Amino acid sequence: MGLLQDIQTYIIAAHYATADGTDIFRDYTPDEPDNIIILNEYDSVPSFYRGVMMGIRYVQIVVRNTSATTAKTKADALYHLFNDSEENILNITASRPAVITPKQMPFKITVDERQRVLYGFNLAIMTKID
Amino acid sequence: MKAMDLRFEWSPKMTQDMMKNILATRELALLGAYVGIDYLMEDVYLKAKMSCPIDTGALLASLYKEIEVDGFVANAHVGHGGKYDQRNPDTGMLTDAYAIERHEFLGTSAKARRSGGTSKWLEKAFNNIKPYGMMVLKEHIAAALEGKSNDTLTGNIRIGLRSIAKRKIAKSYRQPRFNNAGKSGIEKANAKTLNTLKKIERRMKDYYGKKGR
Repeated sequence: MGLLQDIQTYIIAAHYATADGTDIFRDYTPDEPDNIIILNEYDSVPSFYRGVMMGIRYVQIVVRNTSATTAKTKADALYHLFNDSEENILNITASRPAVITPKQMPFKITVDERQRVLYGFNLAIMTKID
Repeated sequence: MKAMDLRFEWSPKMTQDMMKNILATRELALLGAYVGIDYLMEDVYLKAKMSCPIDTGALLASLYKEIEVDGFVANAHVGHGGKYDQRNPDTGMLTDAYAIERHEFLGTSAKARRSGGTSKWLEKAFNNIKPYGMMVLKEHIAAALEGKSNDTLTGNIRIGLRSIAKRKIAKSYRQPRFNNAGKSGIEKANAKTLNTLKKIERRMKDYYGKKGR
């Protein structure tokens, strides 16, 4: 599976979302429903050395909600989900070990035209290439 | 038959010479690193400029690059706003107020996309130099330490220093259009950077002058 699918599975297993396309979306932001989690892989840096099948991949996790407080709380919870492990390597799934470094704490990205608030944060993930 | 005598004496002058050489090496290494950082900063700046979304042009106009030198630390900055803040003619907002939103929100407007713009333009430009950034720095430091006259990189260092100095002089006369807060601070910072650059350039001339280059 791809990186975003693995992250999605991890978030669903932690009960922050229910199912793909219901309240959590990958590389796509639908107009409906209002309250969702959006995962985007926006950049990557391959390994400098030839033959190393690993790289740093950058993922943005966004929480959209009609309530700013809920959006912030949920974004904070997701941030802790990926950052609280005492181990350096986090097994997102059995076949996806990764070293995850948040690039910042959750912050308010924007308020869209329907007054829904978007909070999010970015992760630098050192993991295998799909 | 006379036995051969070997005698080694460490004189205070030798210690002084050694210290001088170490300090000179440190200066040259810093100079190489400084020009290397400037090269990388230029790279990030140009890439960011190419993919900065253009709607009214205010955001692009507020893009800046700067190097601060403080002793043996050189910091390169590429960013938006601050003292180069611009006012958006459509909304009246200062770029400081909406630059982060434009950068982080991954749904860039169609108009901005048509101009070649994208979200995360600064971060992508920075990520882009990561694979070769350290190599560029190493090469510039090595070139500065070797100081070969026919070395292209060393030539680049001289040219780089001149252009940095010119740019800094030009920048010291540039005033922010809308935000004049902290004006004296900017002038002071520019003067400080300019002095440091002049010092480095003088040392460089001394060094190459003595070597007959």
